Amino acid sequence: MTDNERDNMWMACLDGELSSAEASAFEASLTPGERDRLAAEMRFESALAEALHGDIKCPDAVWRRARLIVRHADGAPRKRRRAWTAFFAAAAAITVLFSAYVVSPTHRTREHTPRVLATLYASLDDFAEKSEVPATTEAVQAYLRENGINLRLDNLDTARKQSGEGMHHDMSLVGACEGECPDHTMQALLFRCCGRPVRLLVAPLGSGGAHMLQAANENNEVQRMAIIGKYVAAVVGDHPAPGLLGLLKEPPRPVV
Amino acid sequence: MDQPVAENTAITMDEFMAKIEKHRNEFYRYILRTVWDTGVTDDVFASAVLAAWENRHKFTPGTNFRAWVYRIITNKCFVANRETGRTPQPLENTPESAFLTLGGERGYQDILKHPESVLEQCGDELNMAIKKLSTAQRSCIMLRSVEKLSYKEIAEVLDIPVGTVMTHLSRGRARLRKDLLNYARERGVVRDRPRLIPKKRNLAGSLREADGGTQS
Repeated sequence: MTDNERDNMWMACLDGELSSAEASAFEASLTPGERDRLAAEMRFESALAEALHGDIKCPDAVWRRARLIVRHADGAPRKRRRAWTAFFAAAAAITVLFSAYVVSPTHRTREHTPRVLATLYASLDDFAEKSEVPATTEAVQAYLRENGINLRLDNLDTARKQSGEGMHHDMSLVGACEGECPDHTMQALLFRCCGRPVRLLVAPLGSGGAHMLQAANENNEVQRMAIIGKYVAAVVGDHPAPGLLGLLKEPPRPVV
Repeated sequence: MDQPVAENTAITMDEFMAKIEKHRNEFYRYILRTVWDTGVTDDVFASAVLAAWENRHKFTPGTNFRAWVYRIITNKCFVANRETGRTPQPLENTPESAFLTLGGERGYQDILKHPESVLEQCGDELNMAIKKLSTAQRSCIMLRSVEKLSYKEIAEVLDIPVGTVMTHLSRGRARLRKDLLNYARERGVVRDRPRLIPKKRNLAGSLREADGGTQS
């Protein structure tokens, strides 16, 4: 038996991969000292597995994001394309990119900018599924309080009357949920405006969520952003929703 | 000759996600221990789940769903490590019987006697030692020691022969233990030099001998 084979036998015995007859035969071939070492190595492996396990869990936000991404996928399994199909697809892609970036650079759309906020253009169905509370001002207010956001949420009707920014009339609250931020510091208020999804994101100043919003703002993914008390809030969505920031109370100071 | 792939498009998205959710913590843990970056882990997790969904028709019903997903995840981890520059490290002249020869190393018996306390004292050094392994060695150790996959399942996940799995395990474990031993020696957790003073009972024994064996 070569050294490599002997090492492999030790691995197989250590990992319980040998049949009882094989294990007995192998252990009989060991010296008493080697038998002691084998037992000690088994204890070491057990301790090592526990240390590496570390009670690591998949964060809820990561799981929700994965579910959302799968839901957004077309759902149909990819089929093998013939070479000419691939050729025409590539040609079409080049044409689109050429027209977007070369022919009319002023018409670049947000889709060509890498997104900081993963679900910027989520659908209303996603909103309804993601919301953790009923679509009432009181429930969303309570949700904010539970998540440590000490801001007052105005009723939409009241805010519409007070808003000087021409808030759209066809706007309603859909609910609230956690924003897609790895450190769980961002909350999302979900709205329907003229049949389109719009989110009002809020995070404590200095938090990971606030940095994420800042990055998204620099990336032109945000309609408007403001500091409201100890929080930063931003409106995101491809449908303009003027006046939405005014729903969260404490005098807003626009961010330059 | 290519084997026909069973059609499995009948599975609904909810059923599919329920299957993934059952193992989501172990999948996430495996990715985190293989790519070592939370941001990359989140991305790899999402893209692997999406890839599994898009390729669900390639999964043969009745076979091991968990191992099938691990295979997709492992491919994503290898790609992520290549892209982030965490390329597999060379095996560096690791002798074939590296695992067995460790038994003769000074201080190694101390590690084996008190594994929990040694691993606790090593702390981050354990993470560093795992990071130094090649991606294949790391994958084998994680899949076997932590996630308890069989050699056959690991071979399927990594698409390598069972013998190669054993070699990765043997060399990876040897390298990991050697790094921990070196660290433990540096920190004085284990003995680095041979004992100069005889053990107590030997000393007593020699005293008895010197006294002509009169002492009891």
